[in-house]
Amino acid sequence: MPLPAEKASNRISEKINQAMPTAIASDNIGHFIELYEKTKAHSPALPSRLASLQNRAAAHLEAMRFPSRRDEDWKYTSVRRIVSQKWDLGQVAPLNLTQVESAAIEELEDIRFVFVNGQFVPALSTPSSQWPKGLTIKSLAEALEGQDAAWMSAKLEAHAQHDNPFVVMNTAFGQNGWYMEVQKGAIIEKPVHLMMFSTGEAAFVQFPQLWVHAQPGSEFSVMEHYLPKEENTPHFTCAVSCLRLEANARVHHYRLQRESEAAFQINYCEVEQERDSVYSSYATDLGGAIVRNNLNVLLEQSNTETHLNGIYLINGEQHVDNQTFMDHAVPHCNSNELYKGIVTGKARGVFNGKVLVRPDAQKTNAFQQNSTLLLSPDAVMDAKPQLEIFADDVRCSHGATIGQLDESAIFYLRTRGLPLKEARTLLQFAFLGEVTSNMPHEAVRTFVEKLVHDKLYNH
Amino acid sequence: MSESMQTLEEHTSSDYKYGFTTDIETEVFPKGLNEDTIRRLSAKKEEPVWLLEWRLKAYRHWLTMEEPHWPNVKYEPIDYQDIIYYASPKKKPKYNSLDEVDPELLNTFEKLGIPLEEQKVLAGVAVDAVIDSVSVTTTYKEMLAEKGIIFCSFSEAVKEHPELIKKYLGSVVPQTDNFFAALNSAVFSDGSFVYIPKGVRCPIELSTYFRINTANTGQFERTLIVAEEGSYVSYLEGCTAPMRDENQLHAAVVELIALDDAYIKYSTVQNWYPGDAEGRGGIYNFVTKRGLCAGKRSRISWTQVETGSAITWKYPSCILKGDDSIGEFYSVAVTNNRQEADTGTKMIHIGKNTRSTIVSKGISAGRSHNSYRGLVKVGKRAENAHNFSQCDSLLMGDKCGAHTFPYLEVENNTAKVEHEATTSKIGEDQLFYLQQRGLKEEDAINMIVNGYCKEVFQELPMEFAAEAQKLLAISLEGSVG
Repeated sequence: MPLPAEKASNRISEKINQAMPTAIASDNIGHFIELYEKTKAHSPALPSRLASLQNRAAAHLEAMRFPSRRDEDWKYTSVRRIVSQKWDLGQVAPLNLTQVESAAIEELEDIRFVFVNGQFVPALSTPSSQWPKGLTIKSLAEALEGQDAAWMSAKLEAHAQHDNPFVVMNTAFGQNGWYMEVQKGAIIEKPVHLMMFSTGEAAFVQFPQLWVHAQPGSEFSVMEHYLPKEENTPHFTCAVSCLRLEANARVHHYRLQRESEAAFQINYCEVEQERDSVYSSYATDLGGAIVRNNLNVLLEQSNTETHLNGIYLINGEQHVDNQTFMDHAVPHCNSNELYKGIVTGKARGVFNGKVLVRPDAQKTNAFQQNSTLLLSPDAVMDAKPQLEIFADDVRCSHGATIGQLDESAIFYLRTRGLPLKEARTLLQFAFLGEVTSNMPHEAVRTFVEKLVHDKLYNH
Repeated sequence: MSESMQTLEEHTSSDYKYGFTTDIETEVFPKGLNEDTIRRLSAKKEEPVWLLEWRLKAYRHWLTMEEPHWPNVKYEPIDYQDIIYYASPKKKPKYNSLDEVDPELLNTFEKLGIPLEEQKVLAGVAVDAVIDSVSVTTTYKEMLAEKGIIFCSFSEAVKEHPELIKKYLGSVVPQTDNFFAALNSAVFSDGSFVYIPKGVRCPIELSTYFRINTANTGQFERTLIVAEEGSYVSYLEGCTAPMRDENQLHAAVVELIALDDAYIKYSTVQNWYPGDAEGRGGIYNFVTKRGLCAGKRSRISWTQVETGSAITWKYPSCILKGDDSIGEFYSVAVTNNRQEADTGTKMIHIGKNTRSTIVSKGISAGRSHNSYRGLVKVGKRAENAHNFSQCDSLLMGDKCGAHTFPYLEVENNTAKVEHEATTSKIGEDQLFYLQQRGLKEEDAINMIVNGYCKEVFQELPMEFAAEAQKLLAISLEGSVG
C-alpha cells in the first residue's frame, strides 16, 4: 500500500505504530482530528447548529479508538489498513458529460446526482426543474432548517456520540449530506441515482451522507452507485445513510458498489419503518479492497415488510463484510433476508446477520438465508447468523451454507455440450440470479446481471 | 412415554427431587486459594512433584487471567477466596466390597436411584461414584482389568499409571486454555480416568455419578479418557446435587483422546440444583469439555441432556485432527424459571475428509434464557470437510428468550458447511389435534416436546434415555399449559 505522502515523519510514525500496537489507535484518530481542523479552517461557515454538532462529534471522536479484531463486532475485519493511512478530503476534479453518460445505466430513466471525489457537480446532475412533483431534495444544512429538523438533529446527536467511530467521523465531516423527502402519497417512478465518481492520482477520503424521508403512502427508489476509479490509487468512503418510512410507504434502496480493488468503504445505514411500510434493500458488492456494510433496520410499528437482498462477488485480495441487524421491536412484522456470494482468489467474505425479536414482538415472521460458494483454495468465508428471541409466538429461522458447485449439475451441463468453464460460470450466475431477480427495476437488474456476468467471465 | 407422564404428575408441586444433604463427616480445607492450598492439596493426595509443579504453573497463569464475561448469562460475581477447595469423606474410603461402605453413603445412592449392589447385577454398568472429591468405590474394576481397561479415580491413576497421566493430562485442554480450565488445573480434586487399550471394545457402559455434597465446596473434577487404536468406549456422566442456597461453582475439565479408529461416546445427563423459582441458589456449571480425534478414522460423540444448574456454560468440542475423523454433538438444553444456559459446541476441522454433525435442541420456559453458541471452523488444509448443524429452539411462555449464535469459519474451498436454525413455539394446530384425540393438554405438550427431542434421546444409551425423558418432564413442570 503506497503511503499518501512520502514524508519522513510518516515513516517514523509507521515505525512507532509497529512497535507499540496500543498507540496505533489514538495516533490514527489523531490523523482524522488533524484533517478535521484543517478542513474547518478552509471551509465556508456552516449554520451554527450543524457546526457545533460537528465539533461535538469531532471531540467525541478524539476520545475514541478504532476497533481492532479483538472487538467482537470487528472480529473478522481489520480496519488497520484503512486508518493507518493519512487521508485528505476529496477535491472536485473535471468530469464531462460523455464520462457520465458512458457510466450511466442503460435504459434507466433516472434523476441523476453526480459526485466527483465526494463533491457534488450540479452541472452534470438533473436540474431541479426536472425533478418530479412530490420530491424535495435539499442539502443537509438546508434540511436542518426545515420541517424534519427534529428527526435529523436527534439522529445526528446520536451519531455524534455513537460507539462506532466511523459513524462519528461521518457526522463530524459530513458537510455534503443530501436530504430527500417524498411527499404524502407521491409515487416517484424514476429512481434517484447517486453516481459517485472518483478520479485522480491523489488518495482521498469522502463522507457521503444520505437522508430519505418517505411520507405516508409514498413510493420511492434510490440508488447509491459507487463507480470504479481508473487510477489504481486508494480512496476511502465512509458513508452513513438514514431512511425513514412512514405508514404505507414503500422504498427500494439499491447500493451498487463496483469500485476499484484499491478502494476502501465503510457504510452504515439505519432504516426506521412505521406501520404497513415496505422497505427493500438490494446491496451488490463487486469491488473494493476492504468493504464493510452495516445495515440496521428498526421496525417501530406493526405490519411492516422488510426485504434485505445482498450479493457479494469477490476475488483477488478483496474483503467484504456484511452486517445486518433486524430489530423486531413490535408485533406482526415480516422480514426476509437473502445474502448470497461467491468468494474466490484470496478473498475473504464475512456475513453477520442478527435478528432480534423483542419481548412484545409476537407474531413475528423472520427469515434469513446466507449462502456462499467458496471456489478457491485460499478463499475464506466467515458467517455468523444470529437469532435473539424474546417472544414466544414467532416463526424465526435462519440458514447458512458454505460450499461448492454441485458436481452433478456441472456434469449435467457438460453432457449437454458445455465446456467446463462455461458450465461453472453458468451455475455461478444462476446462483446469484436468485438475488438479482428480486430487483424490481428491470434496467437495474439487467445492468447488475451484466456486471456479475462480466466479472464471472473475466476471472 | 407414559412413565414420563407419571413422573410429571408426581412432581407437579415438588421441590427439587434430589435436594437432600448426606450427613457424612468430611475433612475440609479452610476457604480460600493460594499456593499453600495447592501444595496442601497435592500433599494430601500424595501426588508426585511434577504434578504439583503442573498445578502451580496453572495457578500462576490463572492469576494473570481475567474472568470472562462474554457469554449471554448473568450471575453474581464469584469470590474465589470464599470457596473450599478440598473436602473428603473422613472415613477411609478404600473398599473391596460394598459391605465396608458407610451405610449412610449407600443410603444416599439409593435415594439417587443408583443402588450399587443392584448395579452390579443389573444394567451392566460399572459405577465410579464420586462423593465430593474422593472416589469412594469403583465397581467392575476387576472385570475390566481382565481386558486391560483402566477405569479408576483420577488420584488413583496418578499413583498407578503416572506415565499415562503425564502423557495425556492437559494435552487437549492445556492448563492455560481458559480462566476456568486454569482454575481447575490448579485445584482439581479428583475425577475419573479411563484407558482403553488397543483393539478393545469396552463391554459395558462406564458411568460416573457426581454429587456435590459439602456446603460451599466447588467441585473441580477432571476426567481423562484415552482410547487407543481401534478401541471403543461409551461413558456416561450423570449429575445430581443437594439443595443449597449459596451458589456453587463447578468448573470441571473433561479431556478425550481418540487414536486411530477409536470411538468415544460421551453422554451426560446434567441435573444439578437449578435454584428456586426466583433464581436463588443453584449451581454454576462452567465446564471445559474437549475431545481430540487424534487418529485416523477416529470418532468422538458428545450427547448431553442439560436440565439442571442455575447457569450452564459449556461447549463440548471436537478437534478433528486425524484424517477421516468424525465429531458429533447432540444436545437438549432445557431452562426453566430463572435458569440460564449458554451452550453449544466447537467443531475444529483440521484433518482431511473430516465430518461433523451438530444437533442442538433448546427449550426455554419461565423467565429463562437459552443460548446456542457454536463454532464450525474448517482449517486451510482440511480438504473435504463436511458439517451439518441444526439448532432448534422451542419457546414456552412469553418471558423467556432463545438465542442462536453460530460462527462458521471456512478457509477451505472443498468444505461443505450447512447450518440451519429455527425458533418457534408449540403449534396450536398440533395441540388441538392431540387434544381432540383425547389427550390432556399437559400430556399433549409433553408428547410434542419429547418428539422434538427424540433425535437427541436416540443417541443416549437406553438407561439414560429413560432418565432423560423423566428429567425433561420434571424440568418443565408448571411451565406447560
